[in-house]
Amino acid sequence: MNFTVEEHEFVCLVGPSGCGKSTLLRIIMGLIPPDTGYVMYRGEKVSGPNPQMAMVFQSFALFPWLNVTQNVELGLEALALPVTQRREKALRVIQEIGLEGFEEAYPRELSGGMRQRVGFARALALDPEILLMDEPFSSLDVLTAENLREELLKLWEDRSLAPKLVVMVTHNVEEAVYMADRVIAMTYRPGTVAKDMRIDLPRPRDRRDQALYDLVDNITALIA
Amino acid sequence: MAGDLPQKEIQLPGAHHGQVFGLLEILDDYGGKADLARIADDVFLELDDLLPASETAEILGLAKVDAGDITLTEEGKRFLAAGIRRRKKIIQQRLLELEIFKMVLDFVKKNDDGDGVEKDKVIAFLNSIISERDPELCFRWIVEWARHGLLLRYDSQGNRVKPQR
Repeated sequence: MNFTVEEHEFVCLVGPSGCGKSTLLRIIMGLIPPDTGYVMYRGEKVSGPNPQMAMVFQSFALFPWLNVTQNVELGLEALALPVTQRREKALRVIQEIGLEGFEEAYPRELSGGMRQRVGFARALALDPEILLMDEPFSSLDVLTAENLREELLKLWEDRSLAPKLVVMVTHNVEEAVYMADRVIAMTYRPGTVAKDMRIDLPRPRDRRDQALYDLVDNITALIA
Repeated sequence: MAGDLPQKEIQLPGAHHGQVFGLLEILDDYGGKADLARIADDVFLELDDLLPASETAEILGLAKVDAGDITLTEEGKRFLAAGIRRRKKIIQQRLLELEIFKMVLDFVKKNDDGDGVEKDKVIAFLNSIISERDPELCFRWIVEWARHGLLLRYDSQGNRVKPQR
């Protein structure tokens, strides 16, 4: 498996369950070492967790005893920023991600969509160069997932809050084609790249566009 | 002592804002008008699953439901074209037009002892004006939407509802 990802790309990894997409994401971030091969980041081998990357998880991974602001600030503590600066940064991202008004709320008070927004805020507060997302919408109901996808795309296109590169794992091929500049389709046993394709559809994309359907069918056939 | 609000005036959101806004985004994909049952089919939901979101969208003036069809209003189109912060402002304005929010905001403002109002007092107030509904459930929806619209704060540790700073 060999591929390169570039700045200003939104890349989706798709493939059947068990093909290694999530494992690959964790290898890219430096959370687990590869059995063979390596990941290069800006010319250097990744040998441990990379502070220029941040991850959003499928299961939100919030601390239930911390409120929204405290959950977002948590990652900033590792940056050794002064408390006031951490708080300012957290509140700014909370506002940008649409959570203003919920700063004092605890995870138990939040809907699934809002909990995932906290997950996004916590990752984006770190100003990562690379945002890694592991099935970020799959735990959400279909309406909430749609809302969050569209808002994330707006932030990405706006570039004000966005990282330089997004790598997202999803099993939802339509979601991948709708959101990504590039889709890397993986196959199962062994996990290999079946196809690496650019999605040249103009943005904003139209879900009812036949060209989008054709791409979805094409990729689905590859990974089936 | 407040009397019961007539049923027809109890316009209260009954869906999470992410679900309402997601429905509007999906509706936009259909060109702004669609048969609700068709949307339900296309997204693999039952029609009943869409009703809370569609009713809330209508209460907020963002969509209109008529004979099974849902249509984006002009305000709904403006909402979808807006950024996150402008959307909050639109929702704030729409909530301020709903009688129940006006009454709760007024109650909190008048009974604020410097540290807000106890949750139980707000629930008792809700019970006095909408006795036909579950006041705890109404409280939860009011708090969620009022927080989203930056109209109220809620301290869940101290169980106190506070005016927005």
